[in-house]
Amino acid sequence: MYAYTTQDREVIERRATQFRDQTTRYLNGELSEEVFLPIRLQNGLYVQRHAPMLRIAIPYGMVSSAQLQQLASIADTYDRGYLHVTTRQNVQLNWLKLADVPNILDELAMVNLHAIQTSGNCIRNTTTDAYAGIARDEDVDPRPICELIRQWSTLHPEFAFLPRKFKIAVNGATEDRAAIRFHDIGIQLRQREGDIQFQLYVGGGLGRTPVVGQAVFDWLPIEALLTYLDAILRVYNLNGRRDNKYKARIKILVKALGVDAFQEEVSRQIELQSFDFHSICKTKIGEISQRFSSPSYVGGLDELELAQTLKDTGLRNKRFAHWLTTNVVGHKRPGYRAVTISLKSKNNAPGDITSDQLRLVAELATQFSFSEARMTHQQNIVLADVNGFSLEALFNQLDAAGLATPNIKTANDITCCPGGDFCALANAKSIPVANQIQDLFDDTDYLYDIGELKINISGCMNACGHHHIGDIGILGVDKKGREFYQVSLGGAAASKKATIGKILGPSFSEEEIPLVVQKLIDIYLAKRADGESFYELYHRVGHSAFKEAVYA
Amino acid sequence: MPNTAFICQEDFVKTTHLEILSEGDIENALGYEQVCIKFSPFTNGTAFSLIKLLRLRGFVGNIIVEGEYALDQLPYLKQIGADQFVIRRNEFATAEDILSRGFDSYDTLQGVIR
Ligand code: SF4
Repeated sequence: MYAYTTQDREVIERRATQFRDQTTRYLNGELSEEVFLPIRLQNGLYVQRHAPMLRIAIPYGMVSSAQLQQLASIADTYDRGYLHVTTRQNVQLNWLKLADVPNILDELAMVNLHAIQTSGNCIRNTTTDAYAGIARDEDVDPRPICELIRQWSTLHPEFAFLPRKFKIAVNGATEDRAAIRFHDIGIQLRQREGDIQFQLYVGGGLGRTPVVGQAVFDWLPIEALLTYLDAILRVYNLNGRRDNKYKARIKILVKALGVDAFQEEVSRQIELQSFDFHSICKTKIGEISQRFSSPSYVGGLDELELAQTLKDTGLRNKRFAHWLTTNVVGHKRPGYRAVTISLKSKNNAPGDITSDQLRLVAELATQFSFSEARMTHQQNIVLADVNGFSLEALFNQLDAAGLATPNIKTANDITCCPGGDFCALANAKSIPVANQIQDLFDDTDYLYDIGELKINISGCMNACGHHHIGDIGILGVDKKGREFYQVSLGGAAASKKATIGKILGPSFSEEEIPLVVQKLIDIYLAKRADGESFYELYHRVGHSAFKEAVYA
Repeated sequence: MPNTAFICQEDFVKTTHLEILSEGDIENALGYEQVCIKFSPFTNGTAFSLIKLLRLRGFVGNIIVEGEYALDQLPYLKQIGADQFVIRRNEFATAEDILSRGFDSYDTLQGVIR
């Protein structure tokens, strides 16, 4: 993990002090509601259905055991003893008092955490691959680049009042696990003859008008990254629409200008840059990389011996075998594995975790994974550096706490926004729908027979549950004041097959949804060829096959 | 001593400045000693990039900010290259206090102008 410098700490502390002053002035009536609004939003503070919600930034998802402990303690002291992991790798507290927030920010700052720019019309938390630094297909570890972007974008004086929010994701592996083409800017990294290069996708995004981002700049040297980001943001800040919030994202600007004209505008801004951004950027990447600790892995672990051990354990313990198949993936270090802790157990709101569980995760991270964990954009938690010979011990502790649900990447691993139970913007509830769908898959043999399947649920068009990019996407809509759900099919997040799901047809009531999902899965199981994924089948047999079966 | 960063609204005479409304006005501004950037409303952050562009294009004169900006934006405006701010007489103390609480975060990466 990146070790914060004095400067990094100071920025967080001073921002917390500044926010305390702003909150005091607001509560005294010296600061208007209108002006306090963007200020509190840029500090992650929303007014929700029941109480203010605070979104805490977990930069690119990396979190330490000490930070997890502090989050658990804050959830106990100021909230109801649990928190929610979001699809931007952040965490949310849902039941706070505004007057407590300055104290919470101070307590967060003690462990280098904050809520800076987790909301509002500014550059948000940069997201990345939950397996960054350990994936076997990784070309470049994206985390130092994410940290560079974090620093550049934190309280950037020019870009704090953009036309709309701005999201950046970075991927450094062959497989895109960060959905880079569904971000305002998606960055793909690669290594060429020892040098890092980047490619920029611009203008992707979900929400009301989903767009797959296009490659606008190809394979430039990494020291040019901030030059490009700065210029792109300036073009957006100067030219993005401010008259209509639904047309204010950069995707609309790129569409309106066309890619060529957009590139020209960016190049024009780059020519104006007066200072030597390249060398500043290069030096900074060097400094940041130095401050990333690398785990002191045990050497000489034998993969063959490990495979045999795990197989033997699996024969003794079927639950372990299932968990091993679904929740554990390979690691670039021989003998190591990455473990995903599922926050999608039955009857749990997807992504929610209690403070007791959080403390346990913190302890297990210390015991098994170099005191680090990662929040994933699928709303789970990853322990990335586990010695394969310790997997059984880890499993037993997780299992005892209800944290070993063996369902990662299955139909039960539903990505779901807080929806109508919490969010003031929702058209419909999403958590109960997720729970009802999970009821379909009580039989684990059936769940595993279906295999990998992505279901995403959003409570409104804002698409926080990423419904456009699920195999099956479910969107809450309002139909004459009643909660209905629109279903879409065939979406995909990864850059090479990035697809926006197609709407199946007229929407359904909440009660109908489990049946609809059941029918879709029945068709999949009936028609799939050996090893064919839902996405592949859908795009092979076409939309109408599914539509006919569901509406028959 | 009064803080020279602030100009009282009542004393602000517009005719001596060129108003910068969009990127197109910047070329023209280069011949002036002072220019004025007007916010409307405070959430419209175009003004921040206009100030930055003026500096990037080599404008060395005085940049005055007026209009509906929020006092809490003062630190950002100062960092990005603005010199003076038009405020109401009763806002002096708060404005000074806010400006003094401002701080640079990652100025070298953000091209902050001193
Ligand atoms: S998708 Fe809509 S309902 Fe769900 S969290 Fe986002 S804004 Fe709220």
